Amino acid sequence: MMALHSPEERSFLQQVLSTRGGQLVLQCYQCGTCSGSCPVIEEMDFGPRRILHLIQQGRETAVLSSADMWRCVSCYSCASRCPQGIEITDLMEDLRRIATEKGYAHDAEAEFGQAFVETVQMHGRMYEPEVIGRYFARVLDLKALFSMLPLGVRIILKGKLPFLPEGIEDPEEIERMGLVESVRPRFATLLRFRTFQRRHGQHRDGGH
Amino acid sequence: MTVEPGRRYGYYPGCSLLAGAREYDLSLRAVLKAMEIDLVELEDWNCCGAVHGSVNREEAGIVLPARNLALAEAQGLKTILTPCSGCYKNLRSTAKRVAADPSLRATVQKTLKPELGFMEEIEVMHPLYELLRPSMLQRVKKRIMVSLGGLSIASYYGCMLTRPKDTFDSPERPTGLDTLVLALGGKVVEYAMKAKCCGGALVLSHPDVTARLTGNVLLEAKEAGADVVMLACPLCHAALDMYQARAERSLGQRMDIPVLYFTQLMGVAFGIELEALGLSRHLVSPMGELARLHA
Repeated sequence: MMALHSPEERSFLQQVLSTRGGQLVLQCYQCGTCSGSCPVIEEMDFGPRRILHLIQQGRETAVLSSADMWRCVSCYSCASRCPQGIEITDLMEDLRRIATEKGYAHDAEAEFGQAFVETVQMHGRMYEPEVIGRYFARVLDLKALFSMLPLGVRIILKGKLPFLPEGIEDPEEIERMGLVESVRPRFATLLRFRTFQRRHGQHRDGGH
Repeated sequence: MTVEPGRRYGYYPGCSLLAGAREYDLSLRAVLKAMEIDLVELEDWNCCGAVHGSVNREEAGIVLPARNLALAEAQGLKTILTPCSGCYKNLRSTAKRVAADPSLRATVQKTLKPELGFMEEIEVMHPLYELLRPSMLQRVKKRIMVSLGGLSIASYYGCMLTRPKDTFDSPERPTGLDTLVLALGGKVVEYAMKAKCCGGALVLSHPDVTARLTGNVLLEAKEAGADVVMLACPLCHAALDMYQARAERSLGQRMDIPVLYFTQLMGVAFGIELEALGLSRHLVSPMGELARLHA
């Protein structure tokens, strides 16, 4: 099978085979149980069965420029039913990373993922107002932002959005993990104020 | 390992339980306290990364949850209760992977600060399945003060509570939450969508998808005769409660069905004050349905 591939195709297939989710992609015999189980198949360009086939053929551009891995809701229905034991849901996560690394990631969900890890790298924990801020600053989708406002007000009134972030004691422990190369601080830098406070004014060198 | 009265239990709340899902944290603590089970919150815990931890770097997706396990070990906590299904899946699978793979363990060890380490495998449990152990369920039944007999309850399992497949329940036809409903004296509602995804993962980037999937779940539950939906995951709750209005618009149909955490219904059955269970924090108020129980 590999002999039929061009060097580029072979290298993409090898890259996927080297991931945890993708190591068994050559075992797929196209039964279609995955696509038949997928709750968001109609949101996808190909669906998991065809994605697996395209990977077997080494078709990098088709796979990585598709919307599919960004529409995956991580429900694990495909993986839990796959007769070949292929970890398709984890593969979708791996494809997100490969698409990001190679510059194919343009979906709104790709921007959400970056907003999420930037926030976590900043505080060590999630802070919803910041993720939402970072997300909308990335996608600049004012229509979506305005459509969220009525719900936003109701959520704030119910006390479901925290005003201040909860951080871990030393966010540098998370920075070392390299979730994201560097956090673009934007408006959120000040939000670390509380973390600084909690560390009793300890001096932090490095940072951004 | 079982939950026993007087035993120290590690607790990893996860980020949602400090914010949008504080009522899950409140009700879990209240219920376990009523059962005399001690919860010790893991100190300095960090986000598990959800599905995004590995988006730029593969290793980051494992080191992030692993730090919490190393903290548990350093703090002498052998079992960690993890109420968010997403955190539960991440921490549990990480514990197993790190235990099984010495080279992965070495990678993780390099990134953590030197005083943290991995000598033993931490047991990561979802509180639902701890509470369903037979001896525990007996204790739950003994604690019941208010009958839920008048309430038809549709259990909603979502995804990561039972998938990827584990030893506690079926990924296709799970029964854990229904077992609890029966123990609490409620009426079980059978419906086909109970283990189908709510689309909560795309709540900000593709809210129409969330609204459609959530609408399908709620509509099925409603048509099967449910008074309320009961669940065990903060992201599912955000979708089914907060996005219910959007789901109603997308279906063109009013549903108005309250969505409760299993710990809140346990608390109600235990006779704990409704306010202490955070029941006023939902967008779709459950107060009307709950008032009938006391009538």
